[in-house]
This record gives sequence, C-alpha cells and structure tokens, in this order.
Amino acid sequence: MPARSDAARSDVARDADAALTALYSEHYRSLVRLAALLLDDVGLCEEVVQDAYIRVHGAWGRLQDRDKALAYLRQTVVNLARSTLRRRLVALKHAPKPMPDAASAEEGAYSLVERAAVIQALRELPRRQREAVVLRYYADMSEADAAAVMGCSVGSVKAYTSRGLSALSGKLEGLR
Amino acid sequence: MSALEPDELTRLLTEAVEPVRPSPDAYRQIRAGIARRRRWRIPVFTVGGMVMAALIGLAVVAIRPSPSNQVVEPAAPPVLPSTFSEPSRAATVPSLGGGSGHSSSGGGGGSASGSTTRLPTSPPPTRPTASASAQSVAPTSPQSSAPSNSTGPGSPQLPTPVAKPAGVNDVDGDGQPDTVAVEGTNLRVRFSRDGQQAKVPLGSIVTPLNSAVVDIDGDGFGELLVQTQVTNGTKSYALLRYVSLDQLVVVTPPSGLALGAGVHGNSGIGLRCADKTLQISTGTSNDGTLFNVVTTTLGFTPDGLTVQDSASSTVRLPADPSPFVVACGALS
Repeated sequence: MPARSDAARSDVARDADAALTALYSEHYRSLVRLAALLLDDVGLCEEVVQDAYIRVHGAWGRLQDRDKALAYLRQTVVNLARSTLRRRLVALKHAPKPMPDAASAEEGAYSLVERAAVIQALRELPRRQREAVVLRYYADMSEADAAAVMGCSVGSVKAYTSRGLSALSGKLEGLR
Repeated sequence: MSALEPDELTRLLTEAVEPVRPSPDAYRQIRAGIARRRRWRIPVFTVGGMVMAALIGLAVVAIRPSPSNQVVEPAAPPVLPSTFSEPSRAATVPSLGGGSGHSSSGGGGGSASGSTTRLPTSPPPTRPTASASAQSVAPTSPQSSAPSNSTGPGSPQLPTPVAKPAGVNDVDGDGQPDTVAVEGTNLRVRFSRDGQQAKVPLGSIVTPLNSAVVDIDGDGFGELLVQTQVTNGTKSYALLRYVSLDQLVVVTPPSGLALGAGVHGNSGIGLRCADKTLQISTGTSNDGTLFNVVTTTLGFTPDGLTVQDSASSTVRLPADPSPFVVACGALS
C-alpha cells in the first residue's frame, strides 16, 4: 500500500510539473499583465503571479477538474492581488527580486506602464470596479466567470463594470 | 462626454500593459519556490501533527474523570446485609440476647441466659452511631435482598485482581499493600490502586490498631479483620470486605453468631480462617472448664456470609487447645 501511494504521489508530481510548464509557457505573460492591471505597484505583479503558480502546483493533486487549471490560476492571481492591495504586503517579500541583472530593462517597462493614463485612471477606481473592468475587458471573461473569480453575483459584476466603465470614460475623455 | 466603448477600453488596457515582459528567470524562480515549499512541507506537517497529537492528549487527560469523581452505582445494595446504614441493623439485636429484647445500649452484658450458644459478652462488631447491639438483619434472609451481583465480586465495578489469593495487605487486589489507619472510631483505608481512601465507621476501634488483611475467600481481594473492642476478656472483631472500587462494607455473620475471641465465665467464642471459609466456634460450659463447642463454618457468597456446616464437640480447658481464639492471618 505505501508503495502504491508513493507511486500515485509521484504520478501527481509529474502531472503537476508538466501542467506547470504548459501553463507557464502559454499564460504566464498574460497573467503578469493581468496582475499589473490589478495591483497598485506593477513591480509586484511577477511575484504575485509566481506565487499563484507555486500554489496551483502545490494544490494540483486536489484539483477536481484539471481542465480548469487556468481558471483556478486566474482566480489565485486575483485573490493574491487583492490580498496584496488590502494588506499592502507581498506574500513572498523575502523572495529574490526578479532578474536583478536585467533590472533596468524591466524597470523601464514598468515605468512605461506606470505612466499610462489608463493605468492611472484604473487605479483611481474602487477595487471591485477595477477588478470587474479588468476581468471583463482585459481578461475577456464572461460576467459569470468574473463573478466566480470575484466571489460575487453576476448582477454585482454588471453594476461594477458599468460604474467602472462610466468612471473611466470621464477620466480618459481627453485621450480619445 | 461620450461613453467609453468596451472594445476601446480593451485596446487601451492591452496597450498599457504591452511593455510588461516576464523576467527571463521567472520559470526558474517558480521552480525554486516549489522546491522551497516542498522542503518545508514535511517538517511543518510533522510538527503540526505532533502539536495536534499533544493537544488531543492533553484534552483526553483534562476531560478524563478522576477516580474521586467516579460514581459507584448504588442501584443494588452492597454485597452484605450490614452496610453502613445503621437503621437496617436495629431490629436483630434481641436475637443475641436470647429474645430478651434488651435495648441497643445493653451491649449484651449478662443476657446470655436461656441460650446455649449465645455469647453475651461479645457484642457484635459495632458501628458508628448505630446502637452497639445492632447486628445486621440481612444475613438471616440473604435471598430477600436485591441481587447483589452488581456489587459483588466479578461485578463490573469490581477491579480485576492481579493474583488469587491476594498478596500481603492487599485489599484492592492490585498486588500492592494498602494502608489501614485509625481515625477516632473510623477506619481509614488508603487504596494503593488509585490512592483513594475509604472511611468506614465502626463505632469503636481498639488502639493501637489490631487488624489483619487475609484473603479468606481467595477472590484476590483481601478481607480486613479489625478488633473493635474488648469486653470482659472477649475481643470483638469487624470483618470488612472489598466490594467495589474504593468501597468496603462490613460483613456480619448470620444471626446468632458474632466475630470474637475469648472466654468469659461459662461461655467462649473463637474465630478461625479456614480454606475459603470462616469458622466461628461458640462454647458454653457449666463449670468453666468443660465446654460444649459448636463450630459453624461460614462461606462467602455475594450476599455475605452463609452457613455451610455446623459441628459440635467437647473441649476441656485448659487441657485441650482452646478454640476460643482468633486464628486468622497475623491477627491476635
């Protein structure tokens, strides 16, 4: 029996590694950008996404539907971003900063993002409205999916989206 | 102000985050994080499990009832008729007095008249506040008492003895000697099994304490014989039996018999522990030397002491060995 359970654990670990590699290669970039839209500090987006990958990998054996791993990953990113915003605390604050040697290039990219008017306008929105807008119009989620990720009703998502869109219209009117 | 179209907002958002590029070693950092998580998982789970086990253990110890809180089911009357309840022993005294109906305060002094086997000088093992002459009623009608197997040997409340017969001074059958002490007119027995004490009121106790623990019935629990008083040269004894956890009851012999040893005038009484039985010898004499002795053999039953046999003999004192002594363990 122990040998069988060890073998099963080994299989799960192999599956998790393979899935992690596939999810990374296909969705890492989009998830980092999603986190960049949700967080106040773009520099933390990679840490949040990497933590989400680590958590999904650790919970791989408990995933009931592994086809929904991407949805689970997105939800984890949103939750971690929310926690970061709420507590102003980075979960893995002691982890090494990403690519210290290439810091200048990344920081340059981040500064571009920071300077984007839409980002500035987005950060002025309440957290719920920001999440609804980003999930609906950047992550291209349906209202039901966004509601599931945000942990609220579809009606609430509609309301948050409408208000967020209206607020952004006023803030970005000059740019259009 | 024109409303922002969803498509336009999507475009703006996409363009805004377009500069964001994942770091080249992101994958390596994720793998490092996974390895770090694995490395800590086993120790954390182990420590967590140990802490949980310790908490469960503490909870079990905390909620486990202490022996002092254990309630001995009082449903059935104690094994023997003579429990500690004094009222139950009031009526039988007259039988010792040969039907003369002397009151409880009499103690039996000269009431031997009329009965050949009566021992007037040896009042029964007395109890605390009960009238000294109050001997138990129940022994004469053991069948009428409630089923006593719930408190007798082998009942669920009776611990399992470690050896049969019991060891030296082992009342509670745990293989360790128990402590017997006198406290006024109460006998205090400290059980080595659980450290609890039983306080048995006996009315009077001779000091210094003269007692013996003998497993007379061989059930693995020692019976406790205690000298309660000495009157006119006749010693009286009380027999206590371990009937359930931390509980002792006084066992009284059937009506007409008493636990004692000695000769007074023309009557004598003796006590002997035999093979799983107790023998009481009562003798009467016309001249103080030639005694007609009736030896009654009593057996131990869950209901108490019951008569098994009776034999008569003649003894001439002091030429013959006296049957009017106590021969039970180290008791004198």
